[in-house]
Amino acid sequence: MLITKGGSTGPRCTGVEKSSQNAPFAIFPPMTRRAVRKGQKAGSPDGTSPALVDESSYAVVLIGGDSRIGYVSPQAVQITGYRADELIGIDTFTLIHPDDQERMRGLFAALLSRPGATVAAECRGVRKDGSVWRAAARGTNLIDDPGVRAIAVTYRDITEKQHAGDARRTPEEAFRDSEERSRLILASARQAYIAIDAGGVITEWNTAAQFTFGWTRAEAVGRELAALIIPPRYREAHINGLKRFGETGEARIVGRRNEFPALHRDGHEFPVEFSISVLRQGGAYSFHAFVADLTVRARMEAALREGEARIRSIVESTSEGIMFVSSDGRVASVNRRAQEMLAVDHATTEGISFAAVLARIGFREQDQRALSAAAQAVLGGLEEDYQGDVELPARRLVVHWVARAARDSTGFLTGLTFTLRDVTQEREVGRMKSEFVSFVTHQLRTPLAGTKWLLELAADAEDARDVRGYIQDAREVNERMVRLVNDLLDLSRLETGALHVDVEMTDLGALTRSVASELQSVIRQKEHTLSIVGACDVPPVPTDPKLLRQVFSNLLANAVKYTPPGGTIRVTIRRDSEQVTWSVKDTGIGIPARDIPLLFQKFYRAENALAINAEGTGLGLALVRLITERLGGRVWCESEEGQGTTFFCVLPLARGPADGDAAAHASPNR
Amino acid sequence: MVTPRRTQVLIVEDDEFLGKACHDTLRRDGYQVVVAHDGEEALRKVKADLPDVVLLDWLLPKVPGLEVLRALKTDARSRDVPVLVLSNSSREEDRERALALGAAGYLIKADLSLRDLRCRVKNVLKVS
Repeated sequence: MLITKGGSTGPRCTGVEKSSQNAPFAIFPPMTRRAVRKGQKAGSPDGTSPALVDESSYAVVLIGGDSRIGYVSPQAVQITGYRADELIGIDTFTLIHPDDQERMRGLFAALLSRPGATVAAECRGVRKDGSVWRAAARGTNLIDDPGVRAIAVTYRDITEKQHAGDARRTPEEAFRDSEERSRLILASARQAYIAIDAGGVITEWNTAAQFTFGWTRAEAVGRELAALIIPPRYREAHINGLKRFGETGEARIVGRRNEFPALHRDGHEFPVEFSISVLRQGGAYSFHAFVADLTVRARMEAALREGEARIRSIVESTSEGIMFVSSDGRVASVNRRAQEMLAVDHATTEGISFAAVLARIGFREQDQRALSAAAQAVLGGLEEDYQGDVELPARRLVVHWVARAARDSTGFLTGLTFTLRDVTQEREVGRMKSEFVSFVTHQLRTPLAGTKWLLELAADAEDARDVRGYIQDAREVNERMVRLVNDLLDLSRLETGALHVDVEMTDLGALTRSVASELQSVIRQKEHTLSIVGACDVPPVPTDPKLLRQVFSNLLANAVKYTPPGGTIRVTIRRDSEQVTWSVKDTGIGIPARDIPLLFQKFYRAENALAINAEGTGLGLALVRLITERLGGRVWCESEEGQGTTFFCVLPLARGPADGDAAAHASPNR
Repeated sequence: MVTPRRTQVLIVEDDEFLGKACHDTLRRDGYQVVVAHDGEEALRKVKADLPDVVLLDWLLPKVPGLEVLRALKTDARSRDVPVLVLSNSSREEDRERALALGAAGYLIKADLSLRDLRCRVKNVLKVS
């Protein structure tokens, strides 16, 4: 895979090349060869040197590892416009155009880390007068060379060339440049490039070939290909093939893709793919091949597949729904969770326009519009992200969505991701919370208003008896409010397991009579008949009498309240082996069957109870259930609407597991 | 036998103490005060003797305040009787519905003094 970075119009780096140990100066204009090179034409018969230089056009600087200049040649002085003494000791990069500095620093760092390596690059420089020029530079890491101990950089001014274009160059220059360019391209190619002559002797061996086969260029060039990289069992075929081509021109593997095992320097075999071209020059011919190491490719492909699979499994296993919409407005992928939430599948989404998918899902119209607008805003580049809630009425879901622009590593908009989270429960809890607040507000305001008004009346009353009467009423209302607040606190403590239980042996008959006597005045007023049966036959029960009093009091008060005047209320206490059953039966209005399952829930009130007492809190039976369970018992009711109701409360005779605080704390919260 | 009729106020309130407080304070101002303890009783009393103003609790046994208000406002005979809703619910939708149905006001009991209440009654009667 080829990765390009940065602007495409700037000068290009032509790559990093590891030069051989034997020829560290191969690309460095060698002073010793100056005389030989001078005046020579391009394409010199020895075919070795890529540095076809007229050294007078080259500048040389030696740069330390800290990037400071240690030596400059006269040409360098001339090109940059600085004096030599101005250049010595300064940071090299101050001479480079700001736009190219980062790239060149990167190359310098790469070069510095590899002794012997060479980097070729073009960049812009800034002269002393501020004018910009173009440099073609080659740097070689000679830090390890005891005679140099620096990065040696040769460069020349190619500003003119850039401006003048190819037209002005002589044919020789053009040829030289073109050959140099080809050589550079082959040298820096990512794929191994090998050339052999008609006799099978290696003539070209690029950097990639060195990495592929383990032999350096210096080691490979001049050796027989067969001995170097062809496994012994294929050598004969190779040699025969060369011979055949020489004699008959018949080529079996030329001009097509071939796959064969190759031999690495370390002795292991690996699969390669290659294609061979034949280059004829005059009567001579040579073979040129690009060789791809398939193990690397296979490994990369496997890694890529593995990476993709990993990302896919993450995307598929997340609890959030994810939908990707590509920049053309089509749905590209929908993960499993999103499919579940939206009740769609791959077939009804992928490759289909987002608008069409939306229409099919069954959102409410305003939600559909909001989602559509969000997608347009994000895909249009107007917004980076957008979010909101949508409802799916058919499936009673509330989904929170976030639309976010998706960008590639260069910042280019590739589409948008919708992440979807099921917030149905969260919203429900929120709704219940606000309902609770409004309920409590209402319940507390009634006695607050009562106290306030009664005291206002007392303050304005002239008759002392009236004053006393109003104050007495205000106290009663106030008492009601205290009870309400206590009930709410008890409920909260019971729900969190924080309510303290004080167990003592309790006489249920005595407790029942005590509760009944508190209600005596109302019972008499409504002309009810109350009887208590079996109180003497039951032994004391280990329980919390204060808490149990609340249970009996609530159940008995309900019976009195919801039974029309002249009713019969009967409390029965009965022992069944290990438990005691306390029940209260009335001849009241009864409870509609549909209300019974919800009766013991907080704030729930049966419909017919609402009609009798609109201001009831809906806390009483919730408290009854929570307390009874906390005491190790249970509570339920049997009722027939219009006939009457019986509430049952069963308590254990022995101390049950829910007795005591330790057990209560260990039990899960409700 | 016809005697000049005093201005009549109908208080619809199920809470014993609130009803009593309203009753006493308005009677001191010289109104003829009638109390109904649930929605059904309220509609019955309106039918029997049309009041000049109604103080209507929102959360009522049998027939809720909302329905009482609707009934009053859809009956040509009682349509013009001003109704002040006295509630303890600060749910906006309750307020909106009451006003939309033609209530002359939606008051939160706990925020109201009896003095305020007497002023509101007087003002409503003046306007109508």
